[in-house]
Amino acid sequence: MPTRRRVLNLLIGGMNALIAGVLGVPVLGYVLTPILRKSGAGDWISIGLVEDLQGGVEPRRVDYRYKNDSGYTVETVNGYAFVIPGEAEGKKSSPRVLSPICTHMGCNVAWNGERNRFLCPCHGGQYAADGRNIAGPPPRPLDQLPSRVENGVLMIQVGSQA
Amino acid sequence: MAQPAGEPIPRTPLKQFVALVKVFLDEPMPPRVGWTHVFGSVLLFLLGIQILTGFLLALYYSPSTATAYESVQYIQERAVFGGLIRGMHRWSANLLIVTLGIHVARVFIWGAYKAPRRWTWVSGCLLLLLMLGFGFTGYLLPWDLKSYFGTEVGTHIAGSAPGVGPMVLAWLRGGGQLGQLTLPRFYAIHVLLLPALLLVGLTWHLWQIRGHGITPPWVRVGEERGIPRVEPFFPFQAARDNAAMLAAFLLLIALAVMESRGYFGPPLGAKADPSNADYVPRPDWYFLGLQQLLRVFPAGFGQVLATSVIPGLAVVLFVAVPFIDRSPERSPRRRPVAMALGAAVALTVVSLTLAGNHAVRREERALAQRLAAAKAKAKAETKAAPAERAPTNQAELVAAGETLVEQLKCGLCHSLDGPPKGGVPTLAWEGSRVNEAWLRVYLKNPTRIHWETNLKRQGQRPRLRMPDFELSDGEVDQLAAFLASKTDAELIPHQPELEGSADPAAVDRGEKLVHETYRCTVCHWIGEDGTHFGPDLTHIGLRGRPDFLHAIIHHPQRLDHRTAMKNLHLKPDEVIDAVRYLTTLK
Repeated sequence: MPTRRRVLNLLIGGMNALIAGVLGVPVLGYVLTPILRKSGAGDWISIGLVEDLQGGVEPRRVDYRYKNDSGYTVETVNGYAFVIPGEAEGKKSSPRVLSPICTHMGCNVAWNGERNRFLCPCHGGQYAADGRNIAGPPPRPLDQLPSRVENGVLMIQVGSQA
Repeated sequence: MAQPAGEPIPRTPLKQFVALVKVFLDEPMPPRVGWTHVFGSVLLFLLGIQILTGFLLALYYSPSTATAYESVQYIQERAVFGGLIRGMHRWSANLLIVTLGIHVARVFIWGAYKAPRRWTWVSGCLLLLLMLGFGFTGYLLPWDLKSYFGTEVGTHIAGSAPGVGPMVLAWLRGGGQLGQLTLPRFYAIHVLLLPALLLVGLTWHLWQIRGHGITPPWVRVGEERGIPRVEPFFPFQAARDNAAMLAAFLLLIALAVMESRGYFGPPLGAKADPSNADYVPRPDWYFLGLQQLLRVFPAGFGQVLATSVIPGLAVVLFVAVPFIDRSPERSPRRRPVAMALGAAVALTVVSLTLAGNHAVRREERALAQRLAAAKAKAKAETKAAPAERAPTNQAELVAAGETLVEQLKCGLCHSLDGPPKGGVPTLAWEGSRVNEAWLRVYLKNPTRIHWETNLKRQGQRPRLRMPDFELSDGEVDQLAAFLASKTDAELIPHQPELEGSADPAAVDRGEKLVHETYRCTVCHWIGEDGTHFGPDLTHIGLRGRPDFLHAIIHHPQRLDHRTAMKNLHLKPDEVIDAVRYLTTLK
């Protein structure tokens, strides 16, 4: 025979579960918006004429800038990448373009011409001229950015748009 | 160390916490406490909802005049359940104020503010003022017309106090006028200062309540000791409180869903525009009474009475109620004077609010009539004008168009005589850039064209860019005539070679140049091929004037030094061929 106290306990539990349930769905959905909303492919931007960038023997730093639609504002994003020379064959194929982001903890690496390698300022990671990780903590080579050559212009794909 | 009498303090933090919760749950209730006593818990529950939804809104909100409105729009339209969350925050605030009114009335009628609970009343008053502060500061944050003008009036009321008024006004606004300096300040007060004060006030209030226990109904002051307190709060009164919370919650969800579906009008108005003269300021409803006081009292000293003296006195008297009313009676039947005064105050507040609402409605109706009359008059004039005067008088059309450009405030987005700003075309040489015939169609329905040519293909929803001004045919003629007159022969020189009909061979050569040699579709849409990096060229033959196409292909940065369009260094005859081809794209 359930007591009045027990019935009320169940009732309170039920009512609060109902509130939590009805409230939980929208709250969870809202909080997870960045995950639930599919992010499209990034924009292709041109970073220069491929024949200008191909020359030389050292990786060439290319600075670029693009507009990113962050949802309710369009912001200008500055970035840079390294073009690895002398690898493209023919006019249509694209040279490799490496991201400067260290694969260890995400600092920006710089090219050191004297030592002929990329050096990471944070934890001493080192990469060869082709991006291979050769010393220090980095677990893998520098990431390659999607790139293609259109009409003699070298283009890379930046960010992924929300 | 000696423990006070009673149960010892538990040893582990968890057990201490459980014991603390039990202190509240096991609170013994006097008899005759029931459904009338649920409102405090409902308030606590709604406050919890406010804190939760407020945090969620703050995840996206950006307190800057450039982005506040846009960020709220983002929450409303693009965040998952964003409209619902925002609706809950808004409606929970409204329900809070209503429930507060009921709670105060309940406490007053039950005489629960009397000794020994005087400070419970005072701490409750502090919470009430904090709630009004939350409402006042939160109202501005969406930065739409309603919030802008509501706060414009609201800060003005605060600023009309004698002597210190101007200083108060400047402090509230962060500067001379409502703007970029005001928004972060209201936001900081709304999400940092007031919640901190709320925490203090709430702790004080709850501590007072638990310390003195619930007032035994109708028992005279000083005779409480003999009243038995048997039933614990949990689960008996707790179940009633919980049922009331659930009811409030379901009402809240219903209101928020209706709000997000537009039952109460658009959830977000037009963006704040300080130059808008066609808007009747409407503060949030619980400040309507205060605004009405301003209308009741005459200018001059009357205004000081209405904005400072009366509200100030009302607050002081309200807080001091338990120190003024010292009779030991709690039963309303034995407190006729207190009951009558309380009813009079409640009646005054309600009728002032209703009268304030009525007055705003009346002003809104009058404004709507004024606007309609002005529009009808303007329409009659534009219709009558061509009949009276020669419709071919180009100079008059152009002059009328120039006046329209001023009236419609085209210059807010467009540059009127300089280079383009921020990707928005300049009007300085619009006549050189586009065909007048296209301009007429475009001005008639700008949103539709933008959507069909640019956004549909990307699968995006139309985003409002150029607004639809619902122009009459006469107004379109005037605007188009004026814009067509804005040419710049130096920047966009006339190309005699592009006159006359094109040689089909030239068009073929141009097609090859555009699609194969220079691959314009790397950045532009043409038909089914392309990207949205640059403007859509699918119908460029309808829109762009050949001279302009020539100029921009020849040297893009000369027209707009910030354009992303590449100078591909075409040879002179290649430019001609490319333009010949592009003008066939219709």
